[in-house]
Amino acid sequence: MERQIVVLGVNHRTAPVEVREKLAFQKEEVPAALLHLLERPSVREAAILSTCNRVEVIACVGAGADATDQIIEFLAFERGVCAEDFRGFVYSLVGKEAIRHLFRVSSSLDSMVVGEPQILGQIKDHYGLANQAKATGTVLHKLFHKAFSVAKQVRTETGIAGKAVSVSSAAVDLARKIFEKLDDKTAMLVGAGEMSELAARHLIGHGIGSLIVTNRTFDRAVEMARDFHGTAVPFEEMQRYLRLADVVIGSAGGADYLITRDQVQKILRERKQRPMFLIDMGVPRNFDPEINELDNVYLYDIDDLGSVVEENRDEREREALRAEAIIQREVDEFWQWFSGLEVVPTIVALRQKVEEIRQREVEKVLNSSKGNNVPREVLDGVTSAIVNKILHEPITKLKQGGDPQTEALYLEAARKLFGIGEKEREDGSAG
Amino acid sequence: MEASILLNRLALVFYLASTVGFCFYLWTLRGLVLNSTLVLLLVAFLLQGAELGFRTASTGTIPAASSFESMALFGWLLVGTFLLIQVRYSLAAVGAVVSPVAFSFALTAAAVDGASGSLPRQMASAWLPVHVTLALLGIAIFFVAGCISILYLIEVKRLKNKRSRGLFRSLPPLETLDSLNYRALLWGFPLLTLGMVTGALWGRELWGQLWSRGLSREILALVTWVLYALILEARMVAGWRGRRTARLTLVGLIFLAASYLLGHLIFPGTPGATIE
Repeated sequence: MERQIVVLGVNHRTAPVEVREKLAFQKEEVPAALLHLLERPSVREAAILSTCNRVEVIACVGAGADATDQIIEFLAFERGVCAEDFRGFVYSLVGKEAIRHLFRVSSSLDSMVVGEPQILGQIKDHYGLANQAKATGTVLHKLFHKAFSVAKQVRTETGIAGKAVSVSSAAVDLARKIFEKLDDKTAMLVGAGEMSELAARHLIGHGIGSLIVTNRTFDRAVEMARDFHGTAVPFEEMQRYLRLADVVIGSAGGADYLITRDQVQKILRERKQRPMFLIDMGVPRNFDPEINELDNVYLYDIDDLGSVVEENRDEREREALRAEAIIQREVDEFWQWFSGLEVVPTIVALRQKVEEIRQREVEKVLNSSKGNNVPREVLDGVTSAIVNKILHEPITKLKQGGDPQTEALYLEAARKLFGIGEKEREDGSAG
Repeated sequence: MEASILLNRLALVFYLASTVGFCFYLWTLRGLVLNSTLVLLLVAFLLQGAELGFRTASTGTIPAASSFESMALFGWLLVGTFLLIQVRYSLAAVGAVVSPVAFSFALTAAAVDGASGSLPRQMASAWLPVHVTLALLGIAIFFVAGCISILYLIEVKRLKNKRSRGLFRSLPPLETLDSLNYRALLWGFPLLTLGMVTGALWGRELWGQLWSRGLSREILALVTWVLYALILEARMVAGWRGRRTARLTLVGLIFLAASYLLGHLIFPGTPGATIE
């Protein structure tokens, strides 16, 4: 194998949030990081997927080299973490397993809540980032597009997303365990993450009384407030408005805790100990975990929400089995294509294909009345010469290869143009 | 007397069945199980009510001549209180406590039935039934408040520890439990107060003095009353809520139980003794 597909990363099952938050990339950081990754000798194409639940590098790497170590080194260097601190949490998949993993992730089979729809959008975003950075090539293009179509197929053909159970609805369920009714409660949205927006939508759907939105960029807060019929407040005044909030959803980026234990303690006194429910959707986390030790405050981070929604899993898991079958089929198909992306087999197949056509046509002429007086040697000589002349240039180009991305592109083009690996047309009319 | 014994035995069977039903419901969370269990408990309540009615009719006074009889009466009032709350709130876990309590008290009363005579004539008074009913109803409400407080504490612990499975996975929201606890105190406190006042009046009629039967017990009852008054004050004025008030409610219940038991077990000779 001249190239290989690898997926390396951590997710909510292998690593706790403390580890994931250290490895997570903000969207703005991804393009630059990808350029650094491509500087590594064996990495040919790459994409980074960074969500609350996972940080993964999906790459097409050269053969022979130990890509795993290189990617771990890259993550350590890029995030300023010691490699030994997270090596134990990392999974590294190669070949078919890597392909299957990506398909499972995009189909939301690997999600904390199986069947939740957010992940596909997140993958599309990150694929877009990799495209922008020109880090993707033939292999990853095809791989990601396949992943999208598999996800769509799973969604439409199985009942995996039948019940809209998600982290956000888990948050609403919890709110209803704390509060008797929601229509006299106020929710506050700190930051504008995708997950927190969904949670807000769910809360509104369940009749939350009012909504306050704040964001580092005030314009964005105003925009969201308009969307949700809420009130936007400046980020600097978050403190002042927190006391009004019964439910606080945090998903703002940033290294420091936005809300500390002392702040909440003070707010609770002002609220006369009316209970508060804090939902931390941020990775890194927005709220100090120690807040949960206070009376009348319930703090859930993204991992906690995951364990709460386990209840609805069984039904989804049955559907997941059907989804796995679809994925298996698609993995095999992709693998067939991928393993064709090799120089020598491609050239062999190309020669074989053309040779078959040549022989078939020679036989036709010899069997017809016109060819009776032409000796076979002459016909063979002429046709072979033509075929070889035509094939010479393409085969030389394929052998030369060039940089890995062009090579894959040429191979793919050759196979497409000459119909290699497709089902042979038996009618022979092509000649 | 035959009819009341029959009613008693039947009530016992239904109490036992509803106890099993509540446990089964907590395990399965099937709505049908809960509804049938509530019907069983309601039937048990009506049967025991009829039994108590017969006894009252035959003796001419409320059936609280012995400690055991008053405990059975307490169990009956407890079930009534629970059923009233259950109409609006789903508190099956409380039912799982209330029905075995009613069962065992009714059983004990039935077992020692022969031993208890009727009240000495000189102790009979118009105050007695009023005092006993008010005080026992007050205690029953506080008992339910105590159960609700325990559920509140369990729910808090589950939410803090992020547990979503297990026997208590379908408790009412914390806010509901907290406000139910508050309302139980609001109802229980005046009843307890009236129970104590009427008890004192009864005592004066009987012995010519307000403080009559065992000073330590009266002091304990007074301490309990002050404690509940303080809890109510903390809630209404200082806005206390949540875990703190739930714990205090339980402390109050312990005091209440202590003063009740002091009257019945340490001075068992005192007939018709109940909290006052």
